[in-house]
Amino acid sequence: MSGSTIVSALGSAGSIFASLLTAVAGASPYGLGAVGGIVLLTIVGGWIGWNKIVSYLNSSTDSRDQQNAGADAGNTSVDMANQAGAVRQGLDGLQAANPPTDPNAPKVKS
Amino acid sequence: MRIVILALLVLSSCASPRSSPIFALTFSDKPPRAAIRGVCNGQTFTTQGTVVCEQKEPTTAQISVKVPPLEGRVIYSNGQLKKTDDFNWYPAQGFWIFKNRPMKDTWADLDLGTIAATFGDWPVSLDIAADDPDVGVIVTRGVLYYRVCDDATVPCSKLETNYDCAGHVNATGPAMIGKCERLAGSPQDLTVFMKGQLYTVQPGAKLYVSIPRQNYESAVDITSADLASGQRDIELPAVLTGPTIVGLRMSWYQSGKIVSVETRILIIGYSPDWTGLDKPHYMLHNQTVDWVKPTFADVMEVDTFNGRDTAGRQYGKDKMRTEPKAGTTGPVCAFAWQRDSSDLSIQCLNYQNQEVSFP
Repeated sequence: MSGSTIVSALGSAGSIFASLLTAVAGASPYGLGAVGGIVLLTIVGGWIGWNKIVSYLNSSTDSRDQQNAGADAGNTSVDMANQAGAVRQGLDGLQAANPPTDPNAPKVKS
Repeated sequence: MRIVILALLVLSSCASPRSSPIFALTFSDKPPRAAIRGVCNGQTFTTQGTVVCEQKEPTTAQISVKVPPLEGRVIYSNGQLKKTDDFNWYPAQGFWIFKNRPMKDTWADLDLGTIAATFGDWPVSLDIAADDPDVGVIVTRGVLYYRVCDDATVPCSKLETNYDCAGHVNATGPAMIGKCERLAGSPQDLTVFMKGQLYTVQPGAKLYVSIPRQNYESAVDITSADLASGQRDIELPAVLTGPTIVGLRMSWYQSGKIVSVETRILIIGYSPDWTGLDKPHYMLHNQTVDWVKPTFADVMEVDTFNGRDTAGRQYGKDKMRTEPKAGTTGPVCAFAWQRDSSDLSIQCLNYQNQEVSFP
């Protein structure tokens, strides 16, 4: 199930919960007014639904942070290992292409 | 009654931790800030963020990292293996466990095997991920770069340099490779010395610079003016975010043969956007110290280095108080972590309540 599907389902669950509460409150002998009850319980249900959504988003963020941390550890060490080998080859290649000058070497007449 | 029901419903939904959403972080652009303890050439050291070490013999890795007073794990890799070790609170006994054993102090020992079992470079990257119920996963990073040299296939470092590093002058030299954590995006200045403890550069020499990560290679002619002044200043390209290994070699002819001295510098650039924490603050009252959590820090811990105890689990507190125990003369350190920056800041006091470096 995709993340957006889960979020959507949670949001729907919040709305359904709000509707149920509205129905219960409307039938209550303590009597919220019909309009007041709908408004109040929609707010409460929406609030709970929002918290469920936030809770889901945060847990998926935690999971992604952990994955990112693991990926960082692996990728960084592999990258550094490759760099270390390439540095040695790079220096050898540079010196082979541009060797130092031997000041005592016999001079060639042009 | 209606008000009571409403209040209960609202309070129950507010009681869940982190009632506002957070966003995932990437860590590769953040500086390494983990506190690391290890052994280099037989000497124990403690440092923060990055470790570099050159030694002539392979040894068993002895590396520990500071973990926060939260449950979590250490993920580490040397480029060939990757391991995960958890640290958990064991409520039945009231202590922390790591790798199935109680933690005797505030440090988690990593199982990394042998440093460069043969010869060569041995980089390690680690991430400490701790789960804070209030703010999410707090990650601190660490980087190690060990180099085992044999003066044959892997030359030991001898070249002496000075280089700017975030307001300080760092150096390389015999058996000492360099490191620097600094902002990315600006050039890196470097001074190479013509005479060192183990070498004297001769006329006709060339300086070679290799930075494969930046496709940068340079062969610099050493002039008589350089030899007269005793140094050559060079400017390396703008530092990138993340670890960059710089290779330097000076070569010249001596008695008809090429002689070379080398070194390496590990530069870790981090984004100029990054902002870290201040150190934990403290107020002194004779032998009592009141510690105050730095602004925007998520977790603070005070550690007396006499063993982790239940006091270490007082995360989320803004203030803590320490008093010296009878018969102890060890330092006390406060540690603060922040999720967004992946920062760890540290402040230590000795027994006389003087600021000291990290023990």
